[in-house]
Amino acid sequence: MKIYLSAYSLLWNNHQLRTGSASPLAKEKTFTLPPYAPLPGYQWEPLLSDSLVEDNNSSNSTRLENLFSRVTEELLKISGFNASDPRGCFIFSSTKGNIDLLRGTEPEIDPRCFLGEMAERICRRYDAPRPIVISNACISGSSALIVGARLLQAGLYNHIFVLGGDLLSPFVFEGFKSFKALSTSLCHPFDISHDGLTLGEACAGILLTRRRYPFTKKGDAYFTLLGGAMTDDANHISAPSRTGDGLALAISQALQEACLTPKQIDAINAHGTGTLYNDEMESKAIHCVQMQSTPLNTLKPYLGHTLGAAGIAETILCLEQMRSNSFLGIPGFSQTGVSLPLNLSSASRSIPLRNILKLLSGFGGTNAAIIIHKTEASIETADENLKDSVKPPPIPCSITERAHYRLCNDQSPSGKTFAEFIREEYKKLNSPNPRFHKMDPLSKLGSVAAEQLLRQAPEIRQKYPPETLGIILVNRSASLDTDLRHQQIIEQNLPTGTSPAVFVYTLPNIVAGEIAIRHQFKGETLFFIQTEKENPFPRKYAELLLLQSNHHAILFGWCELLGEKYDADFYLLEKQSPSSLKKNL
Amino acid sequence: MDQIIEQLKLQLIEALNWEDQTPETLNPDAPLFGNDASSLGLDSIDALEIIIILDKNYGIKLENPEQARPIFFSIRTLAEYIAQNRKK
Repeated sequence: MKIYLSAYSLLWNNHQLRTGSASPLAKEKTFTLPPYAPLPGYQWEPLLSDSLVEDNNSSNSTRLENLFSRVTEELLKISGFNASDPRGCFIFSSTKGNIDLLRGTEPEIDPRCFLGEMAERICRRYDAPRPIVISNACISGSSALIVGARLLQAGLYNHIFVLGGDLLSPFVFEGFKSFKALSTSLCHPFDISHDGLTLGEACAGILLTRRRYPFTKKGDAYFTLLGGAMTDDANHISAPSRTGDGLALAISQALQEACLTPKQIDAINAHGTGTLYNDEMESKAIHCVQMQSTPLNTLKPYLGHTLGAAGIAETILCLEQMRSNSFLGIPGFSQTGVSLPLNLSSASRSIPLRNILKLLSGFGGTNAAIIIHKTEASIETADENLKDSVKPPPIPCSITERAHYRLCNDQSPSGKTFAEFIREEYKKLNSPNPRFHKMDPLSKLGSVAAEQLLRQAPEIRQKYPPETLGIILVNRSASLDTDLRHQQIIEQNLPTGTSPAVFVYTLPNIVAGEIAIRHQFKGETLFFIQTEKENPFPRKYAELLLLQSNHHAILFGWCELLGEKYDADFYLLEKQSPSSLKKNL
Repeated sequence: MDQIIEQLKLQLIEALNWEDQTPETLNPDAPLFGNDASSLGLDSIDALEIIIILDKNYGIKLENPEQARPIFFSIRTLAEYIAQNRKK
């Protein structure tokens, strides 16, 4: 894979803006950032100033939409591209979108709370084509970069604007508090004193292109995405794996795609949230791939955990570190607090940075690894410039629909409530799942449909290794059904706080995580949001993933539930490839 | 003690959405956590919910479920801890 990161723009806490193509900040000899200064104790406040989120064009556009617009305008300005160009496309990454507008007591959900609608409203402002929306927990941003790169690699687009953003809101803050996951001070990842994470707020965008454009100026470094992989632990919906094997697998796959060995990676930018479980898991994964001596940092003490923006915002700061060959330290780090040693430092280090490995992990058991490469203009070969870097791969295999199963109340209203209906459907399965009763309605729906679907093709799991089985789900309402419950609990203002068992389901990809745990699918798990079921994009992506990667089968489907309306429409897609061609895939 | 155990069972069934259990089917001596068949199969999120039960119903504040491991072993160990430490 060789996709150019041609321009970027980042807005974060304390209204700082960094923006550029491959060159404007090159004057900086060393790269420094002030550590983020969060409020002490358990409080929250919006971190991005109102002057950034004001908008004169549209009175009912939201805070987050205005941030996205600002980033979009920066990227359009740098690149000179026209947003309406049909050779281009927008990918949005967000865990919660306009969740600050959700009210537990109002009879109708504010339509702006729907992520797909939000993205389409922004695209309409710029007359841009219909966007792709990804909500994949904390790895969303990296997921969006990987999906974008794959679409470019397949030759489907010329350039893609990948945007990520999430706001700090009581919704998110109270949820992480109920998980006892918040640090009492600025987070101290990997340090003996680490006691939780610090939330941040950011909106960021990267323009991915298939070839180098003149706006990446001559005589400067430029950056390419060489490899990217996503895996699922299939172990627990919120706790990271105890072994780190899922993340280790993502790292190995990304290295393989980049045609690099662990020794060729100059530095690792870890997820490093500062929670005990995350830091421990990452240290194990890094040992598993024998990269424990590679310098490692995390940007959480600078940005906070910016959720759906993290993958994009942190990648941008990786580019700036690479450009100046200065690798940021971890502020306040003094003594390793994980059981396996890592190459950590509190001070910034001068290291030639040609290849950086960027890691993220999140709820639902998701892991993502991407590899960014820097080319110094001086060693660039003449014919490389402006040459199309990718060609659509050959398609030596076909995809078959191995099974189909649908559960919905669109056609035949049964008169039963969803709770009654799904309990009966679960009993019919006659296959006890100790997790079932804990699940939220969306996960119950997806779990029952997946169980029925996979019964039609029981051989799939014997035939293929778990890491070649992926899950791609799509819906309109994301997790709004459970979001509403969490919001109602917040509004009750109970002295004991909110319920962690409810909060954990306020991400749509948790249903994919539940299915992954139950059926041991350890490949890519991904959740798309779109306004209409009929949009063919996610299916096209699922097929592309089968053709371009080592996946053998994908559980693909629409998985929508809001109140008493539900529709799970699942397919099992299998790759049929002549074995002689396998190694080319 | 038996009274606390019975009360706790009802509170657990409600808070953990334990639709497949009744007070009669819950063995107070079975391990609450773990994956083997003899345990009740709870996980880390359930542990956080139990912390809320203890706070809400008995005025007991525990911050870290890891430190509370021996207390959280079974329904009986929880009930014993409640009997000794309850504030309401």
